[in-house]
Amino acid sequence: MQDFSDKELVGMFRNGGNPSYAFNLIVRKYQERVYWHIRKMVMCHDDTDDLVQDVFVKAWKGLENFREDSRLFTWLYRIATNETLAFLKKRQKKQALPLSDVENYLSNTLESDEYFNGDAIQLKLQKALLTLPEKQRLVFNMRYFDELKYEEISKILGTSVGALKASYHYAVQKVEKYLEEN
Amino acid sequence: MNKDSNIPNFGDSLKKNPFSVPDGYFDSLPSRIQEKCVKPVPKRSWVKTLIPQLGFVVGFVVLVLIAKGFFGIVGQTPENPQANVAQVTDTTMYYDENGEQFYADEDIAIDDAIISYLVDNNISDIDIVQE
Repeated sequence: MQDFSDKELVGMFRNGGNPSYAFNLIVRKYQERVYWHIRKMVMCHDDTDDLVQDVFVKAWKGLENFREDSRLFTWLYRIATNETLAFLKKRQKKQALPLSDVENYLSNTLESDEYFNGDAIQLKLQKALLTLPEKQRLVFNMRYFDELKYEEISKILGTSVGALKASYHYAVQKVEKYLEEN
Repeated sequence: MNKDSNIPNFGDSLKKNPFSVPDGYFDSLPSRIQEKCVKPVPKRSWVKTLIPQLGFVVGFVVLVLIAKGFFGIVGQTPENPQANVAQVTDTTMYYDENGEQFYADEDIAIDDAIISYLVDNNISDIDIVQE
């Protein structure tokens, strides 16, 4: 498959005469990154699968009005983040779970997930991450696993770089403490 | 490996992705997404929607103004049309003794009493003019 730049892909979508083909290329280019971004937050493959599809359907509907002042990837990440946070909130309300039980719920989901192949230490790290508030967990995932720059995370979450650095710092401290204690 | 000092070194194994997906998942995902997508109807902003209609309205108003201006000049009616008719009617055509046609410099108001007087005294309009 030929590698097209984001600009070329968006141009093909808008003016190429075959938006379906162009969008298919966009999905193929970003599906894995979007998937893993969501998966690290909701843990379960089936939930992630539903969310990824929702994200791309929203992207399909919104791409016509996408302003190219941000990167296509940043834009997709932002949709994915919003969808994920909305999903977690909805599930918490639906199951009437207090915040502390959300952590247990996700932890159980993680352990019972047939598509979790991590070893004991990886499981421990994931459980440590589940003790973090959702926004802090997002920041940690994007910085630690995805190695995104603070500036990029700032564009995705709409938070200042300073606040993100502080958030990441606290997240690391909590994770280190959890790993030491467990 | 990331050299950023902000990124904690929990060990290389922790950076590995512990999750997996069903076989062929990413091969089939694009087509499943495609099935859910239909061609988006581009949303037109209210400004874009309004511009053609506004153009139509402006065009119509301009046409009305042009028509009004044109017919205003050609078909202008006097404030009191009867006065004009009376003016024309009252302009009397005279003939001098040589039979040359001429008009009185001023309109002569028709007054029944004057006419009766002139008829009674056998004074013709020519006599009046010559006087």
